[in-house]
Amino acid sequence: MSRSIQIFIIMLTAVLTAGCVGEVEMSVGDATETDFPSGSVPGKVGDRTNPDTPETQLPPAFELIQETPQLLPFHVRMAKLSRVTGLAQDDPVFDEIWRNRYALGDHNYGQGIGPDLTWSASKMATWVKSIRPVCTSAEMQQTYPSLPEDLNALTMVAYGREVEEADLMIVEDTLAETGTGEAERYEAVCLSILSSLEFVGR
Amino acid sequence: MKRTLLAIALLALMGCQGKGELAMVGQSDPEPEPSTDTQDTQNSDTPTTTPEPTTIPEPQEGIQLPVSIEPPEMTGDETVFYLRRISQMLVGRTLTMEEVSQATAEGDEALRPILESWVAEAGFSTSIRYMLEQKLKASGERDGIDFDAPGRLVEHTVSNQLPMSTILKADYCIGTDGQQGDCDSGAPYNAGVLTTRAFLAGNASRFNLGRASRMMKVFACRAYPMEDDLQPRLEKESLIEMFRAQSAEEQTVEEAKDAFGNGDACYTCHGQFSAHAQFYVKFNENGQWIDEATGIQDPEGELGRSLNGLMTSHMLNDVAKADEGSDMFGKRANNLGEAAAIIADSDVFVPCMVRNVIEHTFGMTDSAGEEIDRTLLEAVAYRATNAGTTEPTMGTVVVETFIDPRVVAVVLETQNGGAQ
Repeated sequence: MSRSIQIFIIMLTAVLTAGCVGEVEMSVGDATETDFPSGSVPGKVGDRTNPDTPETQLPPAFELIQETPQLLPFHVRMAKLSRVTGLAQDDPVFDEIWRNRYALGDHNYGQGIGPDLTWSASKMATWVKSIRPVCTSAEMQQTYPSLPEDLNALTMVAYGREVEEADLMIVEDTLAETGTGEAERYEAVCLSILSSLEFVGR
Repeated sequence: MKRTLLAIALLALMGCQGKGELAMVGQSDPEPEPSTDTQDTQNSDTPTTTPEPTTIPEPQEGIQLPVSIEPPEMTGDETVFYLRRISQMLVGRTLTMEEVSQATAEGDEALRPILESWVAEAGFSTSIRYMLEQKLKASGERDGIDFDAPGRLVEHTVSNQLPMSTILKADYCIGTDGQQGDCDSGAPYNAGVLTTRAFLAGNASRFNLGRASRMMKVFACRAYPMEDDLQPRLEKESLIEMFRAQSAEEQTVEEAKDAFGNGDACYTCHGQFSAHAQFYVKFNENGQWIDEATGIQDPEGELGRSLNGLMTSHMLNDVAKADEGSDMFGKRANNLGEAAAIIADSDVFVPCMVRNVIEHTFGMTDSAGEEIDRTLLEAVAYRATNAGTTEPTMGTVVVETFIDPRVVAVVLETQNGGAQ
């Protein structure tokens, strides 16, 4: 269990420290039905198709500030697990998760329980424990017969992208501290992907 | 394109000069305590400053918003980044590899078709249901009250691509079998989610302040006091004495004398609260409609509580106390059903839902949502309603929101290492 959390923390760190690259140039689309006044207007937006266009930013419409990672709402995490496995959410494979739903941040206002999307080590420990039946299920192994060999297929559904170097490094670290048994290695890789911040958080 | 830019710039300028900014409450929502102090009635634990009584800015003569726009120019990578950022909260999943390929190849041209396909997915209905369950504080079950009822109506509205106003106007509820049926309050009319026992019981409080506050917060993005020309105050003389005071010196009711903590007058907020709380005078604390409700103060009970689990009216006259008709946004409504329809048809409803969607998608707090430029919300609403001529679906609102260049710009800024 502690190993799984350790994996998660490694992945969390990796995600948070991932470099952001790329430039942003904004322009806006054409109006198709407009009747605008003529005259000069303060504020301009750059048009990258025309390098001569002067560029000035409009004020941002709002700010996105997230100081700490947040978990996805419980229903989103469930939907993603369902998608990864191809199983309906009421499949017995998910029973343990449903049993722990409120510990995992689900809400029930009738009972006075609001959603709790804060990430914590204890919550992630409960998550890892709850998804073990998913990782050991026949359906999972049918869809992804061998891990890490089928890692790319898993990340394409779990992350919506192909496997990257960083993923491979994390898996490598995970396997370095895992036994040599095939089932054990499979479960370790599965847990590391399905408990990563990229999978459970935003 | 230039004309769009001109319009947006002008709108931004109008917003700087406009009055009647959205006055919103804080993120957490304890039950509001009845008080003559305006701060205490905001359904918030975060004090907000009382805005000046204001008016809704009128569009300047000759200026029209675009009723249709295209997304901003984006590279394939930018489009993928943008879609990744919003997909999980909008449709409950990551991008498919087909979507990644399409966005990579087509860039911004892929944005609208992908968004339009998303809003037809079941995951989208679930997402909007979740959003409004959080806003309404309604889910689950307790004491035989079906707290999932509002969520089911929302999901039904979205999945069937019904006008978004159905959430407030539906004259039916959705049962656990997914079929239309009677609602559970027992009222002889319905007002969408507002006449579910879940909403009514979950937001019950003295003087019906909690119900009025929640209704305004979720569907108008307003707190009390709001703009005078949105909600005119009821005549001071029509209210019970404790709510008439405009200064501490004017307060003659002993229980209310200490309620000037923020220096504001009772009447400033309760002149408006009174109008909206009155619609709930026949609903008891369990959300059941009681025809015999009187709205009178229980002489033996806590201030703000009437008899038999009902809440006290703000009104002075005994006939008026028992009348569930009142004023909503300057129009007479004979009951909560008619009041809800007025909200849904008002100019504040769609912009407020745009704001709700943005807050939901990006996990923003209420206070962060308060800072969303109102000109953005109004521009999106204008397009979504086809210049005010149609009642939009939630899907239309979401598509118009997330193709907006200003929304895209905020998200792409985070790709560049800006705020996350």
